[in-house]
Amino acid sequence: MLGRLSLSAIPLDVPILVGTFIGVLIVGVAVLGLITYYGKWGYLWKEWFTSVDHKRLAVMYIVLALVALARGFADAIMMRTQLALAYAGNPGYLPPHHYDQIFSAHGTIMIFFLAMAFMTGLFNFIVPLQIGARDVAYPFLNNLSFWMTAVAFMLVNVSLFIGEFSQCGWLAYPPLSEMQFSLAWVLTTISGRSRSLVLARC
Amino acid sequence: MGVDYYIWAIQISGVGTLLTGVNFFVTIVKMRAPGMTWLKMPVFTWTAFCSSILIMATFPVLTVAVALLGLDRYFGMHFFTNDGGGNQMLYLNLIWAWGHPEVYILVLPAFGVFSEVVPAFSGKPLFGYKTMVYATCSIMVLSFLVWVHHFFTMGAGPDVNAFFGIATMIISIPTGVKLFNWLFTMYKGRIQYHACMYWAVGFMVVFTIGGMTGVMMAIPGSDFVLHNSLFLIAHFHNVIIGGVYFGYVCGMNFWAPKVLGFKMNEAWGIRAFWFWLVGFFFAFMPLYVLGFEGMTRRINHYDNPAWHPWMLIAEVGAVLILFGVVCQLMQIFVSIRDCNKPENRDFTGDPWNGRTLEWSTSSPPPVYNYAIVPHVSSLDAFTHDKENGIDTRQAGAQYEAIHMPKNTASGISAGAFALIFGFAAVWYIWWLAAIGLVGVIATVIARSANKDIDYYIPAEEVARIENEHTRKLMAQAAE
Amino acid sequence: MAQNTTVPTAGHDEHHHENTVVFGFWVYLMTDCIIFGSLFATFAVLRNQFNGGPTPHELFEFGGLGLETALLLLSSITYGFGMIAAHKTQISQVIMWLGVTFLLGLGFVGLEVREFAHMIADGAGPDRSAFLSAFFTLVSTHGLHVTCGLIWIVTLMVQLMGTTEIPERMMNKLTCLSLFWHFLDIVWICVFTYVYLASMI
Repeated sequence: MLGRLSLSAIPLDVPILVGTFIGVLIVGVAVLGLITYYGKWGYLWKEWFTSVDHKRLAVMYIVLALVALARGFADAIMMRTQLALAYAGNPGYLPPHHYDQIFSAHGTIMIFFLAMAFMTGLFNFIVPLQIGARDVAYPFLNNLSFWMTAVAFMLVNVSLFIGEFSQCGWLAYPPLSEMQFSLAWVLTTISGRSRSLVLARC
Repeated sequence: MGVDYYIWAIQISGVGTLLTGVNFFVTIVKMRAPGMTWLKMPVFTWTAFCSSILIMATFPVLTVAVALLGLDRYFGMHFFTNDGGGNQMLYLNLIWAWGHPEVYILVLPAFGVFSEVVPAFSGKPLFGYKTMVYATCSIMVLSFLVWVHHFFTMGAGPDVNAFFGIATMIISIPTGVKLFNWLFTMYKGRIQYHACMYWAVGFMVVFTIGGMTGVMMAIPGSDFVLHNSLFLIAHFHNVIIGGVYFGYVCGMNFWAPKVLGFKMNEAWGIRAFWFWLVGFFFAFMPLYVLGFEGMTRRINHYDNPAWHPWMLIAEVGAVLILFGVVCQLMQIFVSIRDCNKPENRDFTGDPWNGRTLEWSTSSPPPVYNYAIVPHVSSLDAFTHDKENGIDTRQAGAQYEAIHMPKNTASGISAGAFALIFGFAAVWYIWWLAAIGLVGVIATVIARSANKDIDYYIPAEEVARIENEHTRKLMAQAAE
Repeated sequence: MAQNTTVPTAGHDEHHHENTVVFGFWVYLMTDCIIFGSLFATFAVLRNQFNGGPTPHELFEFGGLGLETALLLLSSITYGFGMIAAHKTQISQVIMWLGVTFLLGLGFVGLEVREFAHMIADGAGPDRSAFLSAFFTLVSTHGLHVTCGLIWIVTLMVQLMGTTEIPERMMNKLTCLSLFWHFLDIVWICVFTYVYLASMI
């Protein structure tokens, strides 16, 4: 019914992720609560989420890019901190399979969701204005493009709390990214987890 | 399933990016104001145009590369596997045939931003507009001819490596042309050191260093030493942070008053710049050294004590950049908090004495941007109009009803179904994936059947909005 | 104040909007062309990687293939008749020709699925060798496009039913689908030549 998804996919045994999840939860509830408190849902829906105006989409792209910056930069500083600690026998605070997800996520997020989103935001900001047009050629597709980018970024972030992200770098070179190694990798490198859990996470 | 998250995130966002590329390509080809011939088009639009072409030409290749990887994983195919006749070098060629143009997709618009910002804050037209356009176009073409430099060590042979090495070095020539154009634009100009200008000048320094280390790595012989080392990491952060990120932040500061109607706080912007600049050097210069000392990328611990001090310096750099990010968030917060202060509001629509059309309309622009589509007769159209006493807005002219598209929930609906599909595909929940896929298709079909997609803004409403802006301009001029 | 005499009217960009649809779709098709180009390149790299499995000589037969090709080429002609009827605003004729095109396309997809089913049943599925992976992926990407075209045809037939005129937006949709359908024909000719014919010689 749920495919390979099971409760064991939620990484309760990784304190960093549990902490992050609690943090995201608090901030998320606060933001959603404030929107509800001020009764802004209708406004957001009508004026922003469903907008086909290139200027509105531009702002939403740049907000997306800044959120991606926060996530991607958190990954970066975690990596640097790990390497400042982990030398001469000290394993640092990030186990390899976690560290590898972080550098993969860092590259993926910075290129696809910070840089590309920021760039598309600037295109939307100014190109139609600069050429004297009233909007882009396909305003609806412009809105669709934004949401495709946004949900893809959400998908990357879902991997923080349900399952795990790729450990194969931002370009997922084979053969490491092949199924064969997804199985072997999990079986040989995840330590401190029960065997059933390991199998469930293949 | 970590790789599956990666695959579906790339594929879904790829749809969005490809559509953006097509959208802006067609917009720029078909919707320029009358009189705006190709060589009267602002440089930022030129770079957006070249970026869009690169997106259309290369994102399909990324889609194919990642799709084939997905087929290997989901259906046991043998494109890139160790057995069954698969070929991993095929993946490298496909992914970099996208990947190298991708970095130019990102950096060309940044170049475009500087080409708008530097003239605006130097009080001079851009030096060498035509060479800027030709340089942009040659970078666009050359970017297709360099991808093998990402895997010189793969064993393509000396002739192939030499070709791609030389092509890579050649691409630095148009880039150098651009740099000198910006410098000559500043030369003898009345430079105002606005926050935008800090990012622009910082870019010129940082990006030049990054470009030169790139040329070093373009020599196949030295690449054999430096491949996959931290030298590479330092190089591409040098160009991506110094080029792309500085450029985009510069553009955001420059155009924020246009889109939002208020200027961004400068003090926090400049603080952010200094933290980013100094932090950048602390974080990445040690990586060049570590690369020479043989430290490879993606390792999570090491035994060589000689590397440790450099890693500590890099950590300090990361913390400084953290302050930079915090300053940027502060800048946004303070700007929004103070957005109603008169000194921050942009009543004229032209806060920097801008040169291009976007500064001729109000800030923020009305939903239709231009009540009367402007007519362009020269490069830097707005400057031309200002110098010749032409009112670009043609205030008071006979306004007509304006045809505009209606807002729609189809985009967010298709996005939500795509998210469901992606998540379900990662976890092999096939019934849910089917729901997601059918949902996306049904949304598109429903959108195609929807006849209620546009509306007219009545002429009286246009006149009311325009007259109000004209009144504000008069009041501003009277002060 | 100097006034420009060649002021465009406010309605100016409406024409732009309508004209851009077909142009934009054509541009989009060019990006699709690059997808096929990449798949052809992949096939070229892997075409001799049989991994001890079946080779083209053992797999391909020209009988069914010829019929498939004939159906698809014919469907391009019938779509053309549909477009002629559309330009004359003969809506029932348009629906009829779209229906014929749909049936021909469905026949093509049916034959292709049958061919694939036979190959998989004979142990020559896409997981058998790199050659077969590349073959199945390239050919079925084309087949998937044809299937999307079929869904599109049905959508337009339904939207046309009961109408008495063809507004510009509908005409744009018919023209875009026309481009799509002929494009798939051209791709099929490349598939036929490069994948089947060249592998058999």
